[in-house]
Amino acid sequence: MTIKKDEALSKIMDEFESMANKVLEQLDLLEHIFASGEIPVIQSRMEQMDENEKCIDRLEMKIDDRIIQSIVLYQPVASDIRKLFACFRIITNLERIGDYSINLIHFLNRIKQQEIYDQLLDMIYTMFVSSSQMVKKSILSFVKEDRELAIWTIQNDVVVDEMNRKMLKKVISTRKTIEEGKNSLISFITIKEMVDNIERIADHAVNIGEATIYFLEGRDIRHNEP
Amino acid sequence: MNENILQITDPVLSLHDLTVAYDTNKAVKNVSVGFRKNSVTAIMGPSGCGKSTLLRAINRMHELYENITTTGQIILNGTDITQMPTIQVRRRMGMVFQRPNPFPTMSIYDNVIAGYKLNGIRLKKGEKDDIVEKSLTDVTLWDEVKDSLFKRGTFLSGGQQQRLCIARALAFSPEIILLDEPTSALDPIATSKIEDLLVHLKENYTIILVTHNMAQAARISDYSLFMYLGDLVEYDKTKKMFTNPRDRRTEEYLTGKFG
Repeated sequence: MTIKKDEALSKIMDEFESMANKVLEQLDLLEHIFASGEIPVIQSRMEQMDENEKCIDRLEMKIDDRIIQSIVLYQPVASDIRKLFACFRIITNLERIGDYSINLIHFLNRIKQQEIYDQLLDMIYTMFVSSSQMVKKSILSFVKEDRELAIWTIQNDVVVDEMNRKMLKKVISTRKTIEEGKNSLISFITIKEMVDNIERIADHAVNIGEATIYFLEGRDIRHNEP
Repeated sequence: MNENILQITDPVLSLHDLTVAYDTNKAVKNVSVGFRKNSVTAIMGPSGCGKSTLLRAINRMHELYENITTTGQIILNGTDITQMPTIQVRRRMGMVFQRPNPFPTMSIYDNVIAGYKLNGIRLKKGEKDDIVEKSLTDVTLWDEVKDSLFKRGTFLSGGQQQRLCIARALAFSPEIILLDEPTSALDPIATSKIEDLLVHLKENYTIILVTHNMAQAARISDYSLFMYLGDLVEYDKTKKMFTNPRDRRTEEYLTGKFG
């Protein structure tokens, strides 16, 4: 019974790592896109990201299924059930990060005025890199069973929240210097939505860190200090 | 104080430094633990860890053997039962064993009240009838056997026989019911019925059972006690122990690293 259970858990972790790598690939592609500053996003990049997104969705369903099967067949307990449950929560968050990544591409293609984007790009890029780092470290915390990385992720959320607040102020002050018009308004609104999505990516990284703490320590620290 | 042992306030049964030795070999070592009233406690551990030895020590069964020594205290509702006549102990603690063992020459009726007969306690017919009906009702066997009370107990199925044995234990209205792997010889449906019965019985009795079946312990017990090589390693609420055990040995046992 334990051999089959261990094999099942091992398979789940392998597929989890595949899904996590796909999500990280999406974030790396977005980082390049932001770094280049070019809008709209080139077609080949969009197609690559769409393909990755389909893969992420498929893996989420597959891992879901495997987790449920493992619980039914092997009745895992103690650290095994905590790991499975944490994994179950984490893949939901990874799938949402994947969705937000696709949203960001679509937002970029809706920006009508390059000038506005250029003025805010530095802050957008910095905020994105911060969120992306949080996702990477939170995933690593689960895979490597590293408590410190999970704590770092959870505590770094305030940094990204602060960037979001500063971004709003910057958007308002930038608006005053740019000529009003429909395209201008659409661009500002789109950028604000984009920044909110980046902030949500950071929130999901926090959820991953909290799930890792549950796996490692059996403590549910959601809504509490770690 | 071992921080891995949950402290129970006002336990109905408590063991203090209980040690059982077969000649010089200690099979149970300095076990101190309290059991909460009206709960189900599962004693778990790998083969040879001392689970059944502990259970039999609580019921003072080892006194039948010269080479087994038991030291320590067993306090039941404030009374040290190690100083009590064993007959009195057995009235306050009923025991059920792995293989159903109704007395083969006795009817179902006589099996239930066998304890009274064997102890020379005379009862009126009405009193006997009441005890038999209540005990068999408590184990949800009454409806199945009420029309064949005077058939031999051995005519029943394995699961029914085990329920009869539990009824026999309940006939004295004990405070504690001790069960040593009560379902390991039964089929899954009979096992399920016994498990449901134990969950129902805890409303009126305190139940301590030894089990090799971790899933069973998880299903029906409120508290779990893990033993290893004669030591009490961990004792806690079942849901806590099964999700986040404190001791590495408990973790390894529950996750199948050894067993």
